[in-house]
Amino acid sequence: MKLVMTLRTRDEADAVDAQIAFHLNAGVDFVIATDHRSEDGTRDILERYARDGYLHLIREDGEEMNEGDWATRMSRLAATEFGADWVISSDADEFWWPRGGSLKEVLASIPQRYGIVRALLRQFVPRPDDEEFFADRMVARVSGAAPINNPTSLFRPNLKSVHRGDPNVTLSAGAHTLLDSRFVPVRGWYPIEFLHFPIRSFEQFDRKYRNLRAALGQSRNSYYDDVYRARQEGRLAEFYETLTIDDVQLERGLEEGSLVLDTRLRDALRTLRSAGTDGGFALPVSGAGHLSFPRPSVVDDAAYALDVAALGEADVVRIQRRLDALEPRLQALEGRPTARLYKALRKAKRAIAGPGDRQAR
Amino acid sequence: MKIVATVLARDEEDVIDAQIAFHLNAGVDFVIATDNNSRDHTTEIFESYARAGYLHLIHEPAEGLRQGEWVTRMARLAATEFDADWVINTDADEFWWPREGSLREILAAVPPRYGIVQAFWRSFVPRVDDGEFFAERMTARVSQQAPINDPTSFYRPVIKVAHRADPEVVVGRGNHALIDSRFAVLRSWYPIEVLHFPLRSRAQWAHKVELQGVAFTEHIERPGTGYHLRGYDALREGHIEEQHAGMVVDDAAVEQGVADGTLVIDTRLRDALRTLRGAGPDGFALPSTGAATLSVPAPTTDEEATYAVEAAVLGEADVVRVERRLDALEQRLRLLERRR
Repeated sequence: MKLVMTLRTRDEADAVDAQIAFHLNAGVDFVIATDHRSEDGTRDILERYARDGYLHLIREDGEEMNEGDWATRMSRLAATEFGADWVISSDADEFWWPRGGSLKEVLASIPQRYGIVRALLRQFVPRPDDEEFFADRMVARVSGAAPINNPTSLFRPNLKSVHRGDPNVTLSAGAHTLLDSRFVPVRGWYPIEFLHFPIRSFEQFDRKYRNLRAALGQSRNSYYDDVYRARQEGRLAEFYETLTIDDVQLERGLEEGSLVLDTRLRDALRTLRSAGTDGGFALPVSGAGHLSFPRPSVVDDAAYALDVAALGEADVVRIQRRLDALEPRLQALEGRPTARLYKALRKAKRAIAGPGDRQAR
Repeated sequence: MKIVATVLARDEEDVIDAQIAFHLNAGVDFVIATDNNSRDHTTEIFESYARAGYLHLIHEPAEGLRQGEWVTRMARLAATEFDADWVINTDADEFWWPREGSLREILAAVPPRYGIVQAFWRSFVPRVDDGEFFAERMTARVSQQAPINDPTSFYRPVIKVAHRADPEVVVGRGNHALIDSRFAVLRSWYPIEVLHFPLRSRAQWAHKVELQGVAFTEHIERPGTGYHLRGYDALREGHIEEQHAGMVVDDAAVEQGVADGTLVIDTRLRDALRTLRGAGPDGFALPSTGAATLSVPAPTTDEEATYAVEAAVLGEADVVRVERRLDALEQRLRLLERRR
């Protein structure tokens, strides 16, 4: 069983080393990265992992960003060139956290009939930046049980797909879902969480959205418009401040239950740093990672089930829509010449056999 | 009106005496038991109930845990030989708890056009094993506000069925449903709770895992249940102790779970068994006249509301199961569409 992670980066030097080291220790065997015009040292980090044999690097230096195409290309490459049984399509600010066992163990336990496992988004909120490493500061996340349904919010509940290696796979623009896939997803069970740290400091925030605006051209949702407008009107710092959660807000959020403390990534990265040399992160020794992922207790599982329920995935309305879509497809099949011919033959057979036979059926 | 309970057991001496005594006191008239090669005192316990006229014992020497087949045989026998009106197919670690009155009162109230009643499986969490009787220690139960759909979890929302006696009945594996039954299912009313104590001590867990693991690797074609396989892997790799310890819910976790509502303290079985022990000369008291001695008081409105919320989770889990079936249908349709 081989697990490949694909990675898209642009100027993420503050997170990308931790991101790759974390996943190599959590069960990922190999990384395929597409770097888009990084100028902040990200590319050096990627090249170091490539030299050490952990990573295959693709350099994209054009202006435009084609997130979906690049993710698709990497995913296919994972299947065709690197023997991937499973593929995780990641961004540099995402940390995929298995719930009990390593990522590889969790994915190996998925029955053959399923080809897609969805991971639950855990959105970490920006905290005041005192120059410390982001994972040491950002230990509060939005509580899943108190969902934000505002579609422009960065913090609304979301899922992202992990899939079996497939040379013909096509990923959506945000690499969140597979398009027109032959794979069946596991429903109602999300054995991986992805811990997301999209905004880590003002400098990173400023650069990220300057890049993103240029690269995306037209924005995908109004959150990006809001960021853009704030920049045009010269109040980007102010906008950033509104996103940041200070100590007072944190305390209130914890009390109200809208935020929860989550030190899992901080602790995992500390473990890796203390096992590493020269302040760097430790890498797996002969395939064995330095991280362990204990199985959550039933109390954790019950709380997690509540967070999952807030997604509204198991929604009767969705099921009705899917049934509505199935019926015309079935009808189209029934209308095919072969199906019509078969029906006519059966009718003729009944006519020849007479009414007695019909009763016998 | 006669209720017969069936039970299939293998090495369940820590629980089986209490299980039979409880049901006989809760409205069950007679028990049919299948003993599958027990090596502990399970067989003797069965035999003592048989001698006292409460139980019919079948010795089943075959390996391979043919649960569906053996339970079906007992359920049919209940109809053909023991004049049952209703049959409940229990496991050794289950205690079928009527929501009000006795099992007899509940089942007598079911309208004639319905033949299947669904019971709500309520799993108690494993606690630290200090050698005490399991029911004294295991008083924390999962209280689900949302379904746990993890296929390897003990705590998925599950129903069990009680059914009218039928000489031709086929009971599905796990006693969750009847197969091709002529009976109508009474839906959305769960008047019986099945208090479930799957994991009672380290020794019991290791033994159960081994029995099931051997059955599934040597005798059964299909793959085993998720949590048993996980246990069997741990057993073979020599860390069953850690695996068991990882599932035990300690005092701190119980406190946290109770505080956030994911666990509730539920002493009903403990108290019922204490009552029966207090009334018995040595061991559990048994009903002499056939009248149920345990009678459950009517739940309060608050209790009913809490129960309704938890039962709604069964419906949510069903929606997920429907989605899985829909996925499979879409897949078949896709294959047909591609065939040109």
